[in-house]
Amino acid sequence: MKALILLFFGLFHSLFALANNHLSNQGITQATLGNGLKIVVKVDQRAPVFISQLWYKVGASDESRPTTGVSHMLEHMMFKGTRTYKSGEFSQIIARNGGDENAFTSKDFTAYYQKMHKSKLELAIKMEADRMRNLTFSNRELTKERQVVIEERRMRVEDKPNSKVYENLRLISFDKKGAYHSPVIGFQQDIETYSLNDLRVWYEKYYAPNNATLVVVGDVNPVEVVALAKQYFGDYAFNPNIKPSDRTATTLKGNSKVLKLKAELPFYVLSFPAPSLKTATDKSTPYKLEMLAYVLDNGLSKSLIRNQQIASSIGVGYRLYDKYDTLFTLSFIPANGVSNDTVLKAIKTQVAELINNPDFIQGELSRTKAQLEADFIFEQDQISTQSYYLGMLSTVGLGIDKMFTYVDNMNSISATEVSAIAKHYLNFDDANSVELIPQGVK
Amino acid sequence: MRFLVLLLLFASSAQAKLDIQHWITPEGAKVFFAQTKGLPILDIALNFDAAASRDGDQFGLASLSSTLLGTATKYHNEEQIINAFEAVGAQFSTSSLKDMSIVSLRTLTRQPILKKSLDTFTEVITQPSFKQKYLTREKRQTLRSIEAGKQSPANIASLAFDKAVFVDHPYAHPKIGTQKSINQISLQDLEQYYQQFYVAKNLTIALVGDISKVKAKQIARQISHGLNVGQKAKANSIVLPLDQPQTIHIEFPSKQTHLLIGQAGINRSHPDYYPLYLGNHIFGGSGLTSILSDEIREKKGLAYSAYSYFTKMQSNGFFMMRMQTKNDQTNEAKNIAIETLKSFRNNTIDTQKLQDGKDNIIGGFALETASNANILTYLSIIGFYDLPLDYLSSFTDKIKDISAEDIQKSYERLIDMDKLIVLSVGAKK
Repeated sequence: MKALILLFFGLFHSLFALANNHLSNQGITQATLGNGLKIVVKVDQRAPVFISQLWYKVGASDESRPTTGVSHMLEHMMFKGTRTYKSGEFSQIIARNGGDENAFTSKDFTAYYQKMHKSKLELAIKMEADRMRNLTFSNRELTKERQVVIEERRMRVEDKPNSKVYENLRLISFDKKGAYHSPVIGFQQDIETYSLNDLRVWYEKYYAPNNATLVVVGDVNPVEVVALAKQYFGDYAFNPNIKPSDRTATTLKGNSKVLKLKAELPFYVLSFPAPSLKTATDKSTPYKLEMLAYVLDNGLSKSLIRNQQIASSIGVGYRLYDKYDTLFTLSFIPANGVSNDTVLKAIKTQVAELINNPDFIQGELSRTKAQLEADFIFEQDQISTQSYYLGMLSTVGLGIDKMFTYVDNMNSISATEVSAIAKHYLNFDDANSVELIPQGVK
Repeated sequence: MRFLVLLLLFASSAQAKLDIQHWITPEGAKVFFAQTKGLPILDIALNFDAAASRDGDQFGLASLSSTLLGTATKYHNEEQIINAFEAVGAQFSTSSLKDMSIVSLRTLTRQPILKKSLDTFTEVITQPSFKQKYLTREKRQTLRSIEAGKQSPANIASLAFDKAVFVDHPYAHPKIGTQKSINQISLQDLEQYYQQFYVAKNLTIALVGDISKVKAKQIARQISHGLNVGQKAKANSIVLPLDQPQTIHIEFPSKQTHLLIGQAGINRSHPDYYPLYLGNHIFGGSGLTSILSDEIREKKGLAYSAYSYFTKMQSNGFFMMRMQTKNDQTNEAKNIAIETLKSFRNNTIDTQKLQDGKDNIIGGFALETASNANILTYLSIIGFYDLPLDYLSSFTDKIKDISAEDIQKSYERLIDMDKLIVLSVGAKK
């Protein structure tokens, strides 16, 4: 069961093409332990440091009422003690060894990380491995941490009008029986009520080697990383109950909602159902949607903010790497004295122009490609960005090669294709929308 | 010394010790350069002493001036400038703080990309043309930002704290200005401001990336040469401690109350800089393991985040403890925070805490310069605040011998428990 499969990934060609020699001596190593733990190592010797991240395939998209937010709550409890280390000791030990550590939960994953000097690699792996299986659940700790999470929700959502708008957008854009409907942090009512047993069940169900990926980026030796992973995770049993999720996200259309909140500025968000790279049958579609998002974001900023000056902010978003069907979103804050309808009409006009006349975006398209190519190299400056993409792509099930083929995929898209994809997906009659009507803060 | 030799033996060529080069351009701009290998990119930050503390009574002038850089030059309009940067994938940005306004560029070092992005960058900063239509637009955008700030209790609290701690000092007003002050700023004001403050003698240039020193010299010269020599801005007066305590509550319809407690602080040349730095790291500056977070969050579950920091600005910043909690827990959080600070000020910490704090800073110091972006920030700080060139390489040496008594005495000298500002924004008390 502890057989070791080492794969040296053949990424040198695409890297060579993308990064002009500078990365050609840096490879990526992938391995899978006999118990199913995936390992991804990227060597970056610019500084004597590393980041080690452990990614679990579990997040808000796996949750339902009345335990929404349980992945995030469990993430907090992961710092509250194991059979070996008492509550808070994980953070203390990492800190006194010069480490910077934290964790993050999202829709499709929960991840933990330590950034440290390269001499501390074994410590990081050893301690992360310990809490994969040995967490102790204390009611006393849960009682306090539940309050912390409720305060976190108040800070991130309740007291932030625009966060509430996005929370409501997901509620009306995704069916409540499927993924992506509920907020990552959970509904307040659920946070208030889950029991220690709910957390234990979640932990037992999802925290196993065959549901995780260890990603290490930095000045490390890949063989040593794999050996340490084997030493500290290798004895954990494969969990046969973990099956590929049969969940889906069901996108809805044509729903709208008006929120009257204690706020000063109006805010308007639209969503259009769209496939992600994972769910699309034609794998070029998501890249075209991604390109459409860039081109529209740049184009609308130019015409609506800079030239017509009818909007004070514009945002266009698309979640290429979501695990399930996702949304293409458009958001704006109108300029003072301008109605939402005026801005909406201008957006529709510009989208229609893009659809009818692909040449309209030719310049925008080639500049976007130049930017994406440069951004790919700029992103190598942070080991945390590199490990994020590797871990996320592995966890969502897309494969890490997507990180290195991204620029080529984007480069191959033509203006005509962007127009066609806009025509197909940007159907304003079917869009969902949330409108914030500010009531002042008195 | 033995330790250093060992490190060098094991280091790969890409990891040569950070070598900071410093020179002054003929026009008088200070330049700080570090060559890094491994990525074909160059980062430049132009740090002008041209920020909110130079607003005079025209609040928001510095911020507007900074925003208008990049909207037009003598030879190109806004769309041409944006397109020129985008076409080579370069990232151009401006930001304006209270001590410095920063104009920055991130570009690939490959030719002809490097030349194109540097030429546009140089033109934008040395040949700007301030146009009324862009000023009018950016004023409207600023007024929108001021409105946006009014729906954020965190922002309201920050602005009110600045006013309370800095009183009538140039640091006291909001850097983006007020509705009234913004409306009064004219194109001539911007032009004058640029002529006076965007000058070589008022500039620190930081460069980091995979270019040679010869190339770095050429780039710094190109930028500096296009600017007026000018005069270095005169130092503002030092922020003084308040002579009495202040309790301020601002009513706001939020579920949480934002609580800010503090007083006037220090700048980077303060004699107690290092013990105060290490002390704050242990007290409230190191996340979940710090004393304040332990008392407020870990032991009581009162807040998601509870931390403290020094702003270390040129003319003295502030020291602040900050947290947010459910409205009806405000008093409890406030009392614990003040008691925790008092105890830290009056008693020496135990040796384990002291050692843990040092070990965290020293053991993790390599992380501080692990990316070009981080190094760029450090070079800017070293240059702008006239820190010694060995600031980074001697940092851990300065930390390692500090005693618990050094920390306690430095807090006793600085923190006056009887004159704290206690500021809250939230539901009616």
